[in-house]
Order: sequence, then C-alpha cells, then structure tokens
Amino acid sequence: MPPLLRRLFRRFARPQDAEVELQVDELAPAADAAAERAPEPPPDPVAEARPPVSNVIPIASSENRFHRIHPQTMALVEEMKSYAGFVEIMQHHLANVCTETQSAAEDILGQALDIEGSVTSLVRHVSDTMQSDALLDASDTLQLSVATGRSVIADLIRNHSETQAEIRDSLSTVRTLSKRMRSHLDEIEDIRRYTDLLAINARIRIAGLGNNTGLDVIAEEIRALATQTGSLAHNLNTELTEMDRLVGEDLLSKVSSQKSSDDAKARDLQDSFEKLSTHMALLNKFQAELIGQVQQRGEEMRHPLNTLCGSIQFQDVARQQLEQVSRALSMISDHFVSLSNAIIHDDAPPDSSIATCLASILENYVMEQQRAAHRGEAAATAPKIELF
Amino acid sequence: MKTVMIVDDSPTILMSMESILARAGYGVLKADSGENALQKLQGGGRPNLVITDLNMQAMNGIDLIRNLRQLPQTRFTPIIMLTTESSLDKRQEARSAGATGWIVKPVQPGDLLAVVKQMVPGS
Repeated sequence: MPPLLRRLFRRFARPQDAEVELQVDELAPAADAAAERAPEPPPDPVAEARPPVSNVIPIASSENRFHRIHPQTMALVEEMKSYAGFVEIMQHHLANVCTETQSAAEDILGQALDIEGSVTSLVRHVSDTMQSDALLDASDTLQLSVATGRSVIADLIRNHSETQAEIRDSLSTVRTLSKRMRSHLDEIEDIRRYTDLLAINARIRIAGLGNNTGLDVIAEEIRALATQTGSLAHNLNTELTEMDRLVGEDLLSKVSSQKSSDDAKARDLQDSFEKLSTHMALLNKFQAELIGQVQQRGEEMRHPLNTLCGSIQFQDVARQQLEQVSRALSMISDHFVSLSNAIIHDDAPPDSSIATCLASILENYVMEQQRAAHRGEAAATAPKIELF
Repeated sequence: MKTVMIVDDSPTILMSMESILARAGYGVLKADSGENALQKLQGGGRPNLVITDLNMQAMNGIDLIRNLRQLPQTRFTPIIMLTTESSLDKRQEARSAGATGWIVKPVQPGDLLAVVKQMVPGS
C-alpha cells in the first residue's frame, strides 16, 4: 500500500477499521499468489477471522487476475478519484480569478488612460485658447488702446492746463489794462477840472472886457466840453468798475472753479486708465499663470498614472502564481488518479510520489519568494534591476 | 522618436508598459509572444530597445533573445528581461543568450524609465 494511501486510510478509518487496514495490506499479495497457484485460493487464516467474504470485492487485474479489495478501501479509492473533479472545479475558480483580475486591470488602466486623454485634451484646449492669435491680438489691441487713451488723457490735461494758464494770463492782462485805463481816466478828470477852471477864468476875463465880444460863447463851449469830458470819464470809470468786477470776481472765479472740476475729472479719468492698465497687466499675468498651472497639473497627472501603471503589474504577478497553483493541483490530482488505478486495476505504483511532485513544483516556481516560501526560508535579496 | 518593443503575453503588462513609455515620449511596438515579435521585426520594425518577458508560451524570453541576436536589425540592440523570475541561474542564462539587463516585476515606472534612458542614448 503506498504511503499516501496508508496515510489517507488512517485519516478516515475508525478504530475498529485497524483490522481492515491489515486485511487490505495482505489481501492483494495473497490473492495474487492464490491466482498463480490454483483455481481455488487456499484458506487464509486471517480471512477466516474476518467478516464474511461478501465484504470483499473481487477486482479483475490487468492480467485478468483477481484480487479482492475491502469495500472501505474501495470507498477511499473512489474518494481519491473524485479529487480530480474537485481539482477541476478549483482550477476553474482560479482561471476565473485570473480572467476577472485581468479584465479589471485592463478596465482600470483603460479608464485611467481615458481620464489622462481628457485632461491632456483640456490642457491643450486651454493652452491653445489662451495662446490663440485672436486672444493675443485682442489683448495687444486692448493694451494699445489703453496706452493710447492714457497718452491722450495726459495730452488733454496738459493742453487744458496750458489753456487755463493762458486764460488767467489774459484776464490778468485785462485787469492791468483796466488799472492803466483808470489812471488815464484820472488824468482825464484832471484835464476836465483844469478845463472847467479855465472856462471859469475865461468867463471872468471876458466879463471884464464887456459884452458883445463873442468870447463868452467860446467860454461856455469850453465849460460844456469840460462837463461832457467829466461825464464821459465818469461813465468810463463806472464801466471799468463793472468790467473789473466781471473779470475779477465772476470770470476768474468761474475759470478757477472749472479748472478744479476739470482737474478732478481728468484725475479720475487718468486713475481709471491707470487702473485699466494695471488690471490689464494683472490679467495677462493671471493668464500666463493659468496656462502654467494647467500645464503643470497636466504634467503632475503623469506621476500617479505612472504609479498606477506600475502597481497594476501585481495582476500579472498574481496570475502567474495562480497558474502555478493550478498546475500543482493538476499534478496532485494526476498522482491520486495514478494511485487509484494502481489499487483498483493492480497497476504498477506510479513513479511519482508526493515528494517528487513537491520537488517538481519547487523546480518550476518563477519567483524566488515562492521557492523561499516553499523551503520555509527567507527570500534571498537579489537586486531587482541588474544591467550586464 | 526612439522606439521600444515590449514582448509579453500579459495584456496588463503590455498596456501598462506602453502607457509608461508613451507618456515619457517613446514610440512603442507591442508583441504578445516571441513569434509575434519576430514577425513584427521581419516586417520592418527597428526598435532601439527590446523589453521581453521570460515565461511565455511556445517561445520563452531567452529563446527570443537568441533569435533576435540572429537578426541583423537587432544584433546589437539592447534587450532587457522584465520578469517575475529572480533566480541567479536564469539571469546567467539570459546573459549568456545576449540579454543586456534584468528587471524583476513589479518594477517602479521611474526605475524602468531610468534603465530605458540609460539603454537608449539620446532619448
């Protein structure tokens, strides 16, 4: 009886079956010897002590000889044969695990690559849009317009200030002229007073000469001329006073007030253009930063995707290990079938044993870790990368 | 563009290696067996580097290397083994067959790219 079968038998046998084990060990040789000697086997002393012959199943051997197997042994053999079916089911499970993990790994990678494709497309779109000729032209045009606007505003402010200064100068000149005219009016007044005095003196002299000289008419005309001159000087003085008031109080005040208002508006306009210019520069800066950020984020996506691609290799490593387990199961299953055939058909015992199966499994491992685990040792630390 | 040929019977490995290498700017030729790799090379493929698995059906990685060393276009092309196998005996066998290097799976993408860059000058 092969050692494995013996171990299995001991595992499943009840205490009262110990006798049966002996019987099994001795039955086959005894049956073979009997078949060789005579048609009727000699009485077996052990068999006489056993239960009736009905418990023993005669089996035809390959040489058309008969040997008998106890039913419990036959049941064990059937159990061993059914192991092939069990192994087949387990192998189906392992194959399913391989298929499903491979499908899942491909899906994960595929989806990750789809995401990468979408992000890459988005990055390209943003970059292309931000750097498109139309946008760059619009930005340049806007900047140029702002610069032109600032220049125009500066010119306007300068021109306005110059005009205001000229107006103030002109008004100042008008006031100076007005003062000069007042001075001239004073002189005219002096002349009027002198003329009036001259007219009075003339009349006195003419009165001393007597009537009908005709000179009194001239004196009267001179006095009337003096009166008209005084009146004219008075009117001029009044109008000059009004003109001074208009120029000094009204016009200059309005010009100053307008200047303050215009200056404030010009400053507002200038500030607006200044802010527009500043914001344009900020906008360009943000735009450049946005492009940089988008491109950087796109680049940063590569690292986790690469890590994912590295990690997904576990599926191939696991698949190979499962395939090895499946092959090992086949080996053990074949071994059990060989053992069963040896028992039932009286075939020669299989060349292989569990020990040789294990040796074969050890020889066919693909990973050092598997060999180390098989031997119960720590795995040797060979370098993972070696360039020859 | 420098081209790397990947030979592996695992679709997962082919996909992941292609993704890593393409992202780094390499062109990628894929073959799911040694025979398929030889067909592609005979069809005009001229890779700057070959990365092959060891344990494959029909033609294993070492046999593939022996075949590649017979082809004029891959006689001097660097060939890296990418495999779960880590035994020193197998490494020695691959080296004798003409392998340039040995990488044990799973490999970190950064490590893989460093080796590829070293093997493919100017990349």
